[in-house]
Amino acid sequence: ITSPDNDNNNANDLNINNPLSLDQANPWQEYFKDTELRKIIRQDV
Amino acid sequence: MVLVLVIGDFHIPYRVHDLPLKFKKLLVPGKIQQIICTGNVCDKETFDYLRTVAADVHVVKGDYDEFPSWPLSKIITHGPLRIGVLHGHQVIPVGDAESLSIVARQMDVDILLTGHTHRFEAIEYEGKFFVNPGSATGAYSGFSSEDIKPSFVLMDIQGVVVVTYVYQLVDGDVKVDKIEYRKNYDTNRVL
Repeated sequence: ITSPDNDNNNANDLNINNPLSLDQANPWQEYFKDTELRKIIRQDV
Repeated sequence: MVLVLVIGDFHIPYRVHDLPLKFKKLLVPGKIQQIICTGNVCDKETFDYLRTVAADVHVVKGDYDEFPSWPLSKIITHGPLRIGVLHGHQVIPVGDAESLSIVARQMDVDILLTGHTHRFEAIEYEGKFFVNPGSATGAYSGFSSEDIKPSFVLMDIQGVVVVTYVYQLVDGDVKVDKIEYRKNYDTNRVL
């Protein structure tokens, strides 16, 4: 699972890199997508 | 990793009619696991709105809340961290670090969340972390003559580390800040 803290792309711009930001470049979006997927996998297994 | 929203001092509908639209856009369901509210929500609709953002809502009673069932203070644990919540009108002088520190020691908490002053504050004092999320609606407060910026706080709790994101509405734009706190185990502490 990707951790939003390790992503360096936009790590310096807090206005993009924060948990609630709706920006497409936000690494947290990836994180929420991954946790959602993990939830489904756990349900299926 | 747990995302905890800390929000309070809405004063809806007495001082402000609604939460800023830009904040409502940010607070979407599914991201936040828990909400800790520092009180002064004032109406039931706003409380119900909080419950749509996250199911797990902890709230304490502020001096303008009229819900007899709400407690005046609450302690929530997240693994090794003890988080205390208090509205803050009980602490005199209001928002004073020294008196808040006494409350934190009484409650035996590592992090103390208070409101009431309508001013965002996050300080580390005597090894403890004190957070005031400010007013989510930027409601008027008798304590300050300047304009109050709407603000709330999001805490990312990972074990003993708390990464605090501060959301402030400045001139119609949301500004984000980040503060980190780590709980230190005092090895010299006498039990």
